[in-house]
Amino acid sequence: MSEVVKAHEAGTELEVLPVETKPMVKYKIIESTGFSNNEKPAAEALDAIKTYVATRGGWFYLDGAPHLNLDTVTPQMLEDASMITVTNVILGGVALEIPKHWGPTV
Amino acid sequence: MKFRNIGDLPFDAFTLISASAYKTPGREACGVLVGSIVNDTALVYQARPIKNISENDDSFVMDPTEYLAAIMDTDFYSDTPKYTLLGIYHTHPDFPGYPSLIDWNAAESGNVIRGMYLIFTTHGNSLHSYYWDGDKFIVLKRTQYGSSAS
Repeated sequence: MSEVVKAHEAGTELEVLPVETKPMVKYKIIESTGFSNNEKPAAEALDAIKTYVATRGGWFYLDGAPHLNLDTVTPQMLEDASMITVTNVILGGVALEIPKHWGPTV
Repeated sequence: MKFRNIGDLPFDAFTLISASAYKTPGREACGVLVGSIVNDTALVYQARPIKNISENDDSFVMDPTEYLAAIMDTDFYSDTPKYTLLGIYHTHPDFPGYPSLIDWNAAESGNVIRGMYLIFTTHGNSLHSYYWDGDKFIVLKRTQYGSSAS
């Protein structure tokens, strides 16, 4: 029997504890075929963004400004930002060696 | 494919692209193309130049800030887009108007937009139109000085 049922039958009230919720942040990833909207708690979002950029390359932006070093970005910075974006790097040319992972240092 | 044909480029867009090839001689210029798709035909409304931040003159890397700003009112960013992001353009100073090996590598690595891929070359002053479908470049047409050549 659950504590709630026991308490109900006993006519007592359970203490209602505040539920701790992690703030969610929204971020957009733009690739060669379009974009996706994503939403995660800030720390998880930062991890996901770091993994994405490290494996696929890309630019990371906070409020439209590129951040070249993701190591300096904190979950709090994501929570404070109104616009979080990752885009692919558009490049080409006749004499360019493409780095394996172009973009911010992770 | 999102479209199989492209309409004639507006005069100002063609002029902007072709002039950019000569504005900084020997250095590649680049930008994005926005417009709409009507009945399987891509209609370019605007060519939006983007600063080339590559350290090499014969390659391009679009400036991230300008790139993001250029696509924010398109279907590649906005949930209520004003335009369709049709693709990109760049110039080939003193190099033919077909995708180079580097262009192929970049496309295969996801470093382009799936869609229109225009190259203006100073060889013959011609604009070569391709469609990158995620696997290969498909030739759409070649234009010289605004007149259709094929």
